[in-house]
Amino acid sequence: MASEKKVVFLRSSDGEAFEVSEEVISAASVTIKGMIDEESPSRADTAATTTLAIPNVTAATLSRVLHYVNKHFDAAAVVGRPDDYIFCAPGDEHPLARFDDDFVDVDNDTLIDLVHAAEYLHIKKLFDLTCKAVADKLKGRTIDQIRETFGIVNDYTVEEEVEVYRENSWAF
Amino acid sequence: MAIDSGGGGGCSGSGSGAKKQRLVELDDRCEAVESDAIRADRISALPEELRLHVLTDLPLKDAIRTGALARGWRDLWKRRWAHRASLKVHLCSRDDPRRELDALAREPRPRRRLERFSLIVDTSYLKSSEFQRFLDYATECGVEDLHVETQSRSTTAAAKLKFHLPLSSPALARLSLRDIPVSMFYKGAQQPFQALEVIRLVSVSFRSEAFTKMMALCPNLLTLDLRLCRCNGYGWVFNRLPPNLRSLTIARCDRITSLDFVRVPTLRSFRYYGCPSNLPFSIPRDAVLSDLYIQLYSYDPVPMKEWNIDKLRKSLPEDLSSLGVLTICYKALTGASVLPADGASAQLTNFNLHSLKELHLRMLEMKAVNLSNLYLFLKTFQCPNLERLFVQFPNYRYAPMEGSIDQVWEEPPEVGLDNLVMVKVMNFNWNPAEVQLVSFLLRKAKSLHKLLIVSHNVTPVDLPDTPEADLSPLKEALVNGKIMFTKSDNAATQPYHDAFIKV
Repeated sequence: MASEKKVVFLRSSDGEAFEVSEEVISAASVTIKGMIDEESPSRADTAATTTLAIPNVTAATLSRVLHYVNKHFDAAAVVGRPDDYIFCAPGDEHPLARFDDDFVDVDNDTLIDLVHAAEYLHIKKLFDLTCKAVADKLKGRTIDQIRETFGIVNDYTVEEEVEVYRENSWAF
Repeated sequence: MAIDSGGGGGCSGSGSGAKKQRLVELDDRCEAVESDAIRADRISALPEELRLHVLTDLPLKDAIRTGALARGWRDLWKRRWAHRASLKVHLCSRDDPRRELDALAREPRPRRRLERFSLIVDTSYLKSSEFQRFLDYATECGVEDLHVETQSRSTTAAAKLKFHLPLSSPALARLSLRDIPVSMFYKGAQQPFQALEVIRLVSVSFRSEAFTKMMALCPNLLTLDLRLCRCNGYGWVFNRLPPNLRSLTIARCDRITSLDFVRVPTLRSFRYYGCPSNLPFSIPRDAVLSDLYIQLYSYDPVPMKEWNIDKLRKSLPEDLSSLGVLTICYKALTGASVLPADGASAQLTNFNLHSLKELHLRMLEMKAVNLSNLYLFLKTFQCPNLERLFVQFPNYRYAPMEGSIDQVWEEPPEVGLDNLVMVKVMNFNWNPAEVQLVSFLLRKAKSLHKLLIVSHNVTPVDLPDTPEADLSPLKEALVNGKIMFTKSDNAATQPYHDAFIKV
């Protein structure tokens, strides 16, 4: 039994529990690593598996996050050394480039849930990836298109709006 | 093509298309707000740190544009970098160049990220090599918006500075130069400036070969703005414009007379302010413009000759069906509307401006003949969907009108202005021709909500020359509140084009 990998259970805000390797999630999430470290003195003498409550993340989002974590942080699953690819420039083919692209190819609400989750769980790579994906949805669009995409309500008065445009008119 | 890749659709797709669309759709806003409110705006609800992090992933231009989304976004982009990302160096005294350069050299490498670098040279003690070091520094910082100007009284000091960009400025999106001669834009084997979208030159002199080379190095240029520029040397200046250019402004460049554009079918916005005797300027015949500004010097002693008039008319693009905003001065109006000597008006029937929503008439002379030209213009260029009309009259008080109102030889047009909802008249002087125009608009514009008049005299002036038939509609509208008189200009209702292209 000792050789078997330790697992933890993560319980989402809506009560669903997900199993994940303790080693993998500790490497990925600073937040969960902290929780596990806090728990460990009491765990030493018991065989019971730990269940950690993740109150800010829903099951739908948590399962996506864990999918990402298992791909990126499970040394056995990653080809070559796990961190090799982070030195690749954007656009270079690294083993998980395609996976990452597909991973963030989701609707806005899902993406923003992922940003929140990545920030709360403190998974830096996932946070950078999702923020970049949000930025890509803002890039090269007209103001009206962005408002439409994200449901942003224009609360400027006409005078204020004119002022904003005038201030940096070259960018519009 | 960072800005406009998705900007097609109905709104002309020009860089300022969003703004124009806003002008047009202001009335629809209330409805839009209602339907959008159902969807939660989750991106604006993100905590500020998260939104700032997102903004650091954007090029400067896109970051700035987020400021226009809503109040909660207004100045957020300015704080996206933890360090100061905008640097302004003002060289005033003899020791400044040395001191500033030393301070910059001490900064750690790799250099900080710099969005804007502004260098103002106000001393004649800047050596060319030092000047180059400032520019090299800006490039090392990945500058996106670069502004360089000289303010030194001594013109020889400015003349000895040679502006050329460092070998590679991959991030540079906007370049603005003032009072700096561009002798050689490039240095050695230059890399194209792939990100450069906006060039603005004010009071810059260049040789035509240098300019042509500059254009060749900017394959993705969208906006070219030349004010008070001088071109030395022979050759066509504009024959090799970047292929995707959308907006071209030429203001008071009296020494550039050969406005000979070859095909730039992508051009959407053209603004010209200059000498009528420099005509013909020629707008690509196959360009589909969305906004056009023509302002000719009123003090130019050279009258519009028949030859110029003919050339001007012939140089207008063939297809004006997408034109949304037009600003035109009374002199060009003469050119645009006067019929050919043989009276062959049939050849002008293609000027149906059915997309025109805003018209700005700069009537800096308002005699009977100008009113006649204006009527003729409205007959020749039909604009049935016009919504906003701005009319600017001369800015002098109680000027007597030359010629009697009876000399208006053109009958008022019978054209429909059924969609006109807003008219703003500036510098209204109660001159008979002005009164007649307002009276005409009151009769013709059936849907008019508001007629705003800015005038020194907010009550009718008793003018014996003004026929009562013209004056009475005004008095009536004044009573029922359709006309609003103000003494001072209202900032909220401004035309799309600034009255003058400033330099």
